[in-house]
Amino acid sequence: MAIPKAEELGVNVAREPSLMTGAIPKKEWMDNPVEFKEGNFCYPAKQSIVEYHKFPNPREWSPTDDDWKLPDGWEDIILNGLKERLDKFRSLKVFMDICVRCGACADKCHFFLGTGDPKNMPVLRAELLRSVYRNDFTTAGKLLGKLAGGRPMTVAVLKEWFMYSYQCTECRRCSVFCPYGIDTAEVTIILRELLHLVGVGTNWILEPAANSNRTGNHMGLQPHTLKDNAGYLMDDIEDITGIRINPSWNRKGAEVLFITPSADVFAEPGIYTFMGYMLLFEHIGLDYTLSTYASEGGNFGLFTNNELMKKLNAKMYAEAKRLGVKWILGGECGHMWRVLHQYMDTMNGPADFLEVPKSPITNTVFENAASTKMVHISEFTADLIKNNKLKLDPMRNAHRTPTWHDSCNPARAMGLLDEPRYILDHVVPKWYEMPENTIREKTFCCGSGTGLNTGEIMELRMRSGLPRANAVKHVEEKFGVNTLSCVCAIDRATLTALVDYWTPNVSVTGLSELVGNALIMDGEKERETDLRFAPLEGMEG
Amino acid sequence: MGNEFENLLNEKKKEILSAWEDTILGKFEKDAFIIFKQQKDQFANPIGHKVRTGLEELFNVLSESSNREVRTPNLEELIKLRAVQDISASNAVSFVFQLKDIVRKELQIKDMTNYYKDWLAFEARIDAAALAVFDMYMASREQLHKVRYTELQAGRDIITKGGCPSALMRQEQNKKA
Repeated sequence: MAIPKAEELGVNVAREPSLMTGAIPKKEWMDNPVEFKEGNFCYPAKQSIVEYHKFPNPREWSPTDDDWKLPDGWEDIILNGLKERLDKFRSLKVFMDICVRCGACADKCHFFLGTGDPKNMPVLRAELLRSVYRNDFTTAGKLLGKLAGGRPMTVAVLKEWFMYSYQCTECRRCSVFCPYGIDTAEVTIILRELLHLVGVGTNWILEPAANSNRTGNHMGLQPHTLKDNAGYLMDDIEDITGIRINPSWNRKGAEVLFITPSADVFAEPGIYTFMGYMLLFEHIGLDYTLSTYASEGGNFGLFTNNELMKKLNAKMYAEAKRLGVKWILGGECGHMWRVLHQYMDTMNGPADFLEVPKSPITNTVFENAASTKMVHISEFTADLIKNNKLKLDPMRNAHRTPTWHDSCNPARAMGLLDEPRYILDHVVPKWYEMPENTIREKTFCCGSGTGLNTGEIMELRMRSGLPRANAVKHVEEKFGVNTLSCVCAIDRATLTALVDYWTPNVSVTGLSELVGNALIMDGEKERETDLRFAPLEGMEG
Repeated sequence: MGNEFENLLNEKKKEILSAWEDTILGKFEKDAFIIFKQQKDQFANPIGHKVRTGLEELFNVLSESSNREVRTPNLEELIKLRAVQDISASNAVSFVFQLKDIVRKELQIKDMTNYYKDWLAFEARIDAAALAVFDMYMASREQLHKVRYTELQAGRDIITKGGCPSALMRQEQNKKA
């Protein structure tokens, strides 16, 4: 930094580029190339992992290199890939054509609100693809090129796609505000698919996907490890409640197959949620089984391409068929429910070997899941509470004053809005809503979904999560909220880091953890701590 | 600083704050600047809100002659934001010094010469505040490193370790045995 002259002092002692991500300011967006530097990109996928997936162009490379070692004829590969997808997915064709650039979405994206980068305005992110579409697939674009908003596929465009398709969490908040219903998440999905055709992808997504393909879960856990880990958690439950629970694994003939994210068995704070599930099933005597094969609710195929999504999803039905269960119960996961609710039936259905889910405890038939045969744990739990089947003591959560974070996918992709709130009403003495334009359908993303929850972009995550954190801060100050509760494994992981930075006195819990705390089990000993071994209110001494 | 100078500052408070906001928000592209400057709902515009409220708190501290603490809640939020933006440390805190030029322009030369002793005192307060803000910036960076460290310790990166977690666990158990 040079010392400025006296006449320059009025301007600014520190000269910096604009806050457009790694870019130089004050040019038309098309003429504004991206610049990759440590901290603004996710690390690329390892060569061995790309080879494992049998994806094209495995190699060692870095986004900071000028030469990305793209295959010969890569432009044609991309354009042919786009053509194929325009023919295959009518939604893509419609989304490319109908945007009138009204701007309703512009200030709704958490990435835009947290970074201030105009290319994170959903309309402009989509324009990154639309401009190439116009250039090569519309008459106006073919004739007029840039005048018609078109531009040819170049390395600079490709790099831009990589930058901004990994600064979108596919949360779909923008779609709520789009008068035409354009689902910008699907534009991001297609951008990522196209990038994979030339070997451009991130390790944080492809390696867990490889693990999931190999062992059935992101963590790469093998059957005995899953079982052992769950066993340690059952030891903790026994210490806390005096009740010994023996989870059922891979049991043929069980009524229900329970599938949840593998992080629930392995990583804090998900493990407390897992303990909550187990207490609940024991409490009601559910005839269930876990599976060491379908041991992952999450599906990083959704963040990769439709073929991998289908493949990873298929194991759920395959395992349900193998075990001969009647229906599937799903745990607290985010994007699992988007895959399930919007794609599973088309990809791997119909699951006509399963029955329409019916709660064996309340006899409630879940008509909403008549096609997919899979019920969300919150729907299931809310129904149990509604029918007075649970003995609950909300005072055991008196040390917690939660607010509710609507996880994007359960909220916007499957409409799970009221069930979690109904459960909260019954398992905690009091809880508070965040402001209206930050909850329910308008909920703000955690900022790190779709495989962006990796450490190398921590600052970026703190920016993209700012709109959510800002609302949490508000209820912390106004109501003394100390807990951020949600139903998503990625949320539980990423919100933990987010609140550690923005609101350090707030901690993150799953909803079933709070249910587990409140459940009065038959034959239990007096509880002195919650499932985290933190003393209950009045038991601090 | 005398009461008269303070009064002059407070008379121009609105104009000074608006120009001061622009020095930070003006770093964004025009489309973003317009939204961040105009949208008053803090939940629809957290950056604009943090800039606005943080600067106002600091201005209130600087424009009163008391020894009030620079570290105030909304200013802290603004500095936390600066600490995670893609900018250098010097740039993150440089906005404090820019207040000098903004006040010079708003109060005009006549007032400057009439109140030069007050002006010197005011500038000294800005310099002291800049140091305090730099401490706040560093504290936020430290906190961010702790967040990174805590996340690493939580072991989520195991999903990209390329190793077999079952084998790792077996190794650990053997070590313990």
